[in-house]
Amino acid sequence: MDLPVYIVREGEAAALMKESGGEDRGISEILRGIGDYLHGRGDGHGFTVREVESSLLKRDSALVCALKLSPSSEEDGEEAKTAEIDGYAVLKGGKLLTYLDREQAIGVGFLTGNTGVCSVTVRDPRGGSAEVRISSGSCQILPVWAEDGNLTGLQIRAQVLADVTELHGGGSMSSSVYVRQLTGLLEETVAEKINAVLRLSAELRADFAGLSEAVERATPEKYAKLTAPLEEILPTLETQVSVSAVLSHGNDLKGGTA
Amino acid sequence: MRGDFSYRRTQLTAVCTLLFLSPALRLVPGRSAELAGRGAWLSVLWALPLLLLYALFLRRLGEGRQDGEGLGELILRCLGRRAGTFLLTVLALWFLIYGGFMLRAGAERMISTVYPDASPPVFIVVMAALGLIAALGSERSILRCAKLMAPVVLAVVLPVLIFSSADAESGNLLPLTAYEVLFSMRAAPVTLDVAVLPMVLSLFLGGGRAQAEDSGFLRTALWLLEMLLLLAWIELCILGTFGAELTARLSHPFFTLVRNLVLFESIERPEALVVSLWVFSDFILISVCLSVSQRLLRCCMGKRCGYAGEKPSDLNNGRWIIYLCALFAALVALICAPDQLTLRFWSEKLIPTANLLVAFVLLPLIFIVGKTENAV
Repeated sequence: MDLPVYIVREGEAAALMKESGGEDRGISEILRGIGDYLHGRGDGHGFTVREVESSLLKRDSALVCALKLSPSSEEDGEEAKTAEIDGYAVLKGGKLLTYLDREQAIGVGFLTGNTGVCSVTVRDPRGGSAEVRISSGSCQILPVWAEDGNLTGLQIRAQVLADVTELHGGGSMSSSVYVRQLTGLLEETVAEKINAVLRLSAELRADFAGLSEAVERATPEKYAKLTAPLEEILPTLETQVSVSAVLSHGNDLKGGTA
Repeated sequence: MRGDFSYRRTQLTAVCTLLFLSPALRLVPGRSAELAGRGAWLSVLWALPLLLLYALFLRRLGEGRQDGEGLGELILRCLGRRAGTFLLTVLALWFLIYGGFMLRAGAERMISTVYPDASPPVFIVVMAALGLIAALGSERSILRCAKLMAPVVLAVVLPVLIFSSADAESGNLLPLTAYEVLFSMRAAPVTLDVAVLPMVLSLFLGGGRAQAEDSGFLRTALWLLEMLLLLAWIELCILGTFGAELTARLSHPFFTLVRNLVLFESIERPEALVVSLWVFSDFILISVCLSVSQRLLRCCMGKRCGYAGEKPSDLNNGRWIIYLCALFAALVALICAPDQLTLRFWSEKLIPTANLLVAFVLLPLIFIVGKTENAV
């Protein structure tokens, strides 16, 4: 029950198991490596059988970590392939609905409380970009109730602690103006990732991110009086996402001046 | 000096603990979660006052026994030969059916957790044979066995609970609204069922007045409190780990919990050891059921009910009935639940309902009749 469950995107599990790895490293070692890598990551989580089953029973939808077969970067030969993390699969009613890519997976991490280390690219209006590594974060989901007891919206407040690892396009971390600008852009980027997940959740009418539990935890008495399941009213909810970021720069900063 | 028929309080406590644990882990986590959701663990609070009152009632009822008597002899005196014989036969049959069901449930547990390719008859026949050997001897031997086995079983349960507590997620247990706290009352009959049965069965053993005096109400209350705390802890661990929805779907939530346990990041899959230890609990339960049933049936036949050092092959004094009892229980086990659906029906509906009827309807009626006849 506590083993992670994976779904193979664009292919069959049998093919992935057969083709990935080489003589020294088989699929078991690769999967164990993926499991170790996902530990503490913000852009992926190896949901266990227990978590998936429990989520399907509680809210009829769940996320499963998706894998794909891709060329191996190791020196196993030109044709060597490996299994690589490729976002999440969204299940509802026991059926596969769609996939979330790794960028969207960061938004899932915030909503499900699995915020951890992950990298995002932040593009500034001048055409430059910065590679930002989110080291930690948190997210608060607050329901907004109308006086008649109806749930009208969700306020999502996220906090991000990140550092810049690469700069492209002439920006400098010594400029406080640039840092402020980059911080604002990071906040926008993270907010957009969270919003994308919320939009998809509403569109699919699938509470795969566990919003209902967050609402219930915040206001149990009011939640108990909800006449319809949260996934049914998700499209009608007004969501407001605010992100507060603190940005620093790593010692291994490349491509810019520190 | 203590007579051959009287038991030490610690022995009686041990036998009641083992009689409690077997049905508790079979029924409580899953059925309670199904009935009361994540607040299921609170059901022990609802059950406690009623159980204390019931313990008081049983003590009052048990006081009517003479030295060395079980409740069977008292029932015969209260109801007279005809009605008493009828009732004792019904009760004996019920205890045998219950024992048979427990044989089947024990076999199912072994199959679904450790030996997936095995078939129930092997486990049923072996356990029935062990129960028969125990029932052919003295009741005191069963109680002595229980005193040895209970600490072993508890010594395994407690570390399991300690290690599992770390995996329990508060999100699966909280928040609890006032309605959910009230709603948890729905699972109280399940708790009542598993806690009442050991008390009732122990009263049918031949401890007599000495037993009633030795196991005073405060001691019974303390035992009840300990068992209910243990039960609440078990439920908290299971509900906290799996959530109420998943717990309600699992056949053996406690053993699934054990299967998931990793001790010190090195010891995995300890479920075979833990499940095997539950054989002790099953053994005591089937032995007590057989022992009590043969005692009741021999009472009906007007034979001496207690054990007087007879050899196992001695069939005099109605002792042949012991073999028949074991055979009947084994047959019930073999035919009672051909599939999972029937086993679930027996486990969740039939057995608890019948147990509660015996405990809360039949015994109070006997008490009332006994009162009017001045026999209690």
